[in-house]
Amino acid sequence: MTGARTAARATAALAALCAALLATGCGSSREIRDVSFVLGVGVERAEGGDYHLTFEVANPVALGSEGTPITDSPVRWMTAGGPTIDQAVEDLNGRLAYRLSWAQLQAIIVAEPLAREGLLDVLDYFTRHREMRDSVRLFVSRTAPAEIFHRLPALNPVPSVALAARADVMERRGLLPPSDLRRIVAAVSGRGQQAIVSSIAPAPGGELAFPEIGFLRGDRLVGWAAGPAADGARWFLGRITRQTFDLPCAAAGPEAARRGVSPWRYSLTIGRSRTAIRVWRSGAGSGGSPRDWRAQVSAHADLAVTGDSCRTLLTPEHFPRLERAAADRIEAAIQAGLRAAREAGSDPFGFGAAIRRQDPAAWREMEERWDTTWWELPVAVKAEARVRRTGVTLAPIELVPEPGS
Amino acid sequence: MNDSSRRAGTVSSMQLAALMLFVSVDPMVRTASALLVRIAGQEAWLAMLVGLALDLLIAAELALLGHWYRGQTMLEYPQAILGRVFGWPVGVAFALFFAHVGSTSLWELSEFAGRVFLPETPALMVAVLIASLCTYAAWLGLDTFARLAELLAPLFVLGFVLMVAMASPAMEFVNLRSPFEQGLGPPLRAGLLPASLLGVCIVVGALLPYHGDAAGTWKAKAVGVSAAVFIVTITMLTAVAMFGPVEAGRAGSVVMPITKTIRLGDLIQRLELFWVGAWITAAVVSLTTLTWAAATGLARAFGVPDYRWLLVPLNVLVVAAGPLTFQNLADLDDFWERAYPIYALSIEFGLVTLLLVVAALRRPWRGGGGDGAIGV
Repeated sequence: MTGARTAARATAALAALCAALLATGCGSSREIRDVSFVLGVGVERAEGGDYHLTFEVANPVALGSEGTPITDSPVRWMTAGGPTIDQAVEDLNGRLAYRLSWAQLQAIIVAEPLAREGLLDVLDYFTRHREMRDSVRLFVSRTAPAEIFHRLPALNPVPSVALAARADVMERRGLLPPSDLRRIVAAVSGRGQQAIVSSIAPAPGGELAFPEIGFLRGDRLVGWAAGPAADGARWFLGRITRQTFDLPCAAAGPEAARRGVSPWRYSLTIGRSRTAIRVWRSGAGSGGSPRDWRAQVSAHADLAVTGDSCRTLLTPEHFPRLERAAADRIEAAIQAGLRAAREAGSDPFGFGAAIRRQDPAAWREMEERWDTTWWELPVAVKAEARVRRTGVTLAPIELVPEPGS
Repeated sequence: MNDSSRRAGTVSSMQLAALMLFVSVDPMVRTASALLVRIAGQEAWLAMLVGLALDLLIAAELALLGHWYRGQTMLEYPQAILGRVFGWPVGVAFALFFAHVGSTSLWELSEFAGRVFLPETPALMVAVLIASLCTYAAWLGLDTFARLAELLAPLFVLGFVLMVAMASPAMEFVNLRSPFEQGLGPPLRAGLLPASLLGVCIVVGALLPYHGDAAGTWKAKAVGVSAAVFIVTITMLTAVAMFGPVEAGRAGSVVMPITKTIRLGDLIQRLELFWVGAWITAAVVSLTTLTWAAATGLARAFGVPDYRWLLVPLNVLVVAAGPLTFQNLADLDDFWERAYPIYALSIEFGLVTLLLVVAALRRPWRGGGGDGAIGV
């Protein structure tokens, strides 16, 4: 009896061991040496209407060979085309010794003409693929994506990784709208708020910049905000931090203007900020039209003075004036962002979503024509700035008057 | 299993709660939760509460039956209530229902694993592997897999709490507004799905005699099911807060996008495999419990001296039923959404209520010998 039980247990143990073999992933395993890791991909439309893809593929030999002098580039660029993104990928797979893997993809760069045509194919392919990270960044480029990739090596030997890292830092500072795939898709399919994307462009010195913010309607790029309008759009993100700007000495009043000589200025850094949108019924109408509503954008910024060549900030009366001047600057930026979005015919800041949350029934009446009518919504902008820090010195540097001055 | 081998105290209250947690959380947390968000949007939490309320009602009915028919499982007392002719098929129906739910859940897990992680491995292979493990666990007996559940449950709950904590920086609570945007209809209708999935916990009726303490059994069940409701609800709300109701409902599973988003520096990221482990754990414990209950019920119904004899053929059927019934995952989703709530509730609520009503009618209303008249 004991022998039979031991035999049964041994058989069960052997069966379990054999079964464990199935769990090793043999059916779907891929050796790392048999895979080409795509780090970045550019997507654009070729002349014939096909997709044209540019791949930045890791060169593992150059990336990871310890003790071996690296003479080769750590990445290589390849191109492929096809009527669909999948067929373009297969086109390249057919020419490569190793299959492409998306598991390490960092950035997708879409050419502007394709973005204007619609991002649906791109978003669908890259969110549907099982290997994809949701943290993959998506940017729109006014130039060919290949040009962006070729400019990147000035930043880092592994360009797309550097690009994603930089985007991450800028996003945390509120200088870049959320550029990860999942949040862009969530905004594209959201109700009452359109998605925004960031542009990417070559900058002097072989580096890259994110100069503009693109407004989408549905999945199509419909307009850009640049300069103060882009700053204004960033304010709506409500997370700007460590951004610096300056104000002329005259901003703090006539005395400061007298003491400050051009180009002396106040240098300010935003320590923390938040922006909120509030909507309410105006009291007139049924609530089923944007005109029946009012909106207010309230922005608040905590500032630190990081430079005072006007030499005035020891006296309390200068603070409110400086704060008002900073608030005026913020209000102007937000108004510019708002104008740019209205001109583009997109509501990327979520006024519609705010109304939907407040009054779903009224929103249902407006929803279909919101994109073309939301500019009728009266929006007031109110900014508030507080100087919270002035550095560790108690008084400005006093200059000895020059003889005869 | 015969009466002599059945002993009260085989499972503790903690073990029973752990078993109920796994039975009710699987497959809800995997794909049904995404379905729920798709139907009820940000009000999916309300659907869960509706489900919990219905489950508590079924639990109360079962508690009463368990009290009246002490020492008998829910696969046995139908004969005492309805007589051999009508009671026997009801007992068999319960057993087959457990096996069918286990089969559907197993196939869904296998298909899902194939879609997300093992694209070149046949789903059937994954199903065979998990079913073999469950067969072996059920073979070893209730006390063995109950201990396993007791060990794994705290880790399972802790894992979900940590997941939500790690995902919290990416949440935007404004996505949870506005409440009742679509009115009360969709969440109340959607409540049938969690009610039917939580209702599988009627399997506790098959475990009651092994626990012994009737009141403790229902407390343990309530704890296990509530923990499952808590886990599923916070997971759904996390997904909605992160991605909005539309995008969260579009995902095949609400947990997957959350785990894909978690990033703590460059150190902790891509936690999907960890959650696959959690899902497989829940599926193994759940399927083991259901097949064990089905095998013991069928053994008694067909007069088989040892339930173990039925485990292998039963699990062959459990594995085969999936691919024979469902062509693809869309088929499976459709089944969960349209057919399953009606089908499952007709057994979980319909049959149990029928038994309770008949038992109440046959029960002597006065005098102290009620239990002896129709019970054990």
